[in-house]
Amino acid sequence: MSRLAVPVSHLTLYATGDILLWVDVTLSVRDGAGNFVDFDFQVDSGTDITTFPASDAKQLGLYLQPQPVNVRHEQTGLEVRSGQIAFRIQGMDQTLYAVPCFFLGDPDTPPAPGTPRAILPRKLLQPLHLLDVLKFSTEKDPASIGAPHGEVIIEKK
Amino acid sequence: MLTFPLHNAALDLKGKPPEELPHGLLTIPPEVREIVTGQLAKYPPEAHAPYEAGRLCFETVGWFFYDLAVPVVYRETPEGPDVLAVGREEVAAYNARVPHDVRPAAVKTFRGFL
Repeated sequence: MSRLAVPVSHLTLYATGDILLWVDVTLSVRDGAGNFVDFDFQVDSGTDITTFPASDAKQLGLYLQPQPVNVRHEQTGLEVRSGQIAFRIQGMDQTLYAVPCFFLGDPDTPPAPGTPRAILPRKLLQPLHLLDVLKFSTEKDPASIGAPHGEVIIEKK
Repeated sequence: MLTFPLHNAALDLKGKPPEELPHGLLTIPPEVREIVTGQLAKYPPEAHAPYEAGRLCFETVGWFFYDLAVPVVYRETPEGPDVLAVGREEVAAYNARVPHDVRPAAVKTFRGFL
């Protein structure tokens, strides 16, 4: 069985003093030539579907629909191409997983520096699409200094 | 005792292109040191010693880069984070040169919320 414990990342928000929490997982995304390229994704059960910048997908040689679908991504307002990404999870075995994915934005135009964060295409992993093959759980050991805000555990079923 | 909001460095760097953002060894601001010291105070010193440099470096990178919407690759050092790549292009080039599975453990990524 393959198992990965990912500590919850935390950062002080200097504007308020609050602590921001999130979990990143490194996915080795399979490109159009069959090679694997690493990207950090935020694990986000709140996103409707896994998302990935269309411009990065084009650079990877992934299949992209020629035209965007007739909906806009609600959170960012970006154009959407529906597809799929395949990946391995860094730190686990070599199993290849695939999830449906919205490729966001213009494939030919990466976001310009200074683009407001709210409208940037982000790399978000919707874990609910993987529940047939992976179990996601959360744990917290108050004595753990390495993971003071807990961990997300990813286990192969 | 710190009072929020704090005026962190990123506020003065907004709008600059990645090549003009800080690179190399960043000095740990006293405010960051105070915050991290407070976070680690509940643990015995011998327990938190191995994690202190990592926390100081990560919070320092946040001090300089939070909300700038640029990813950052840096190396943890006891003196502070040594920034190796800033922005999509530099980070992509670094990732191509040094994939995650072969990079030193002290090299970390600050995703910049992208």
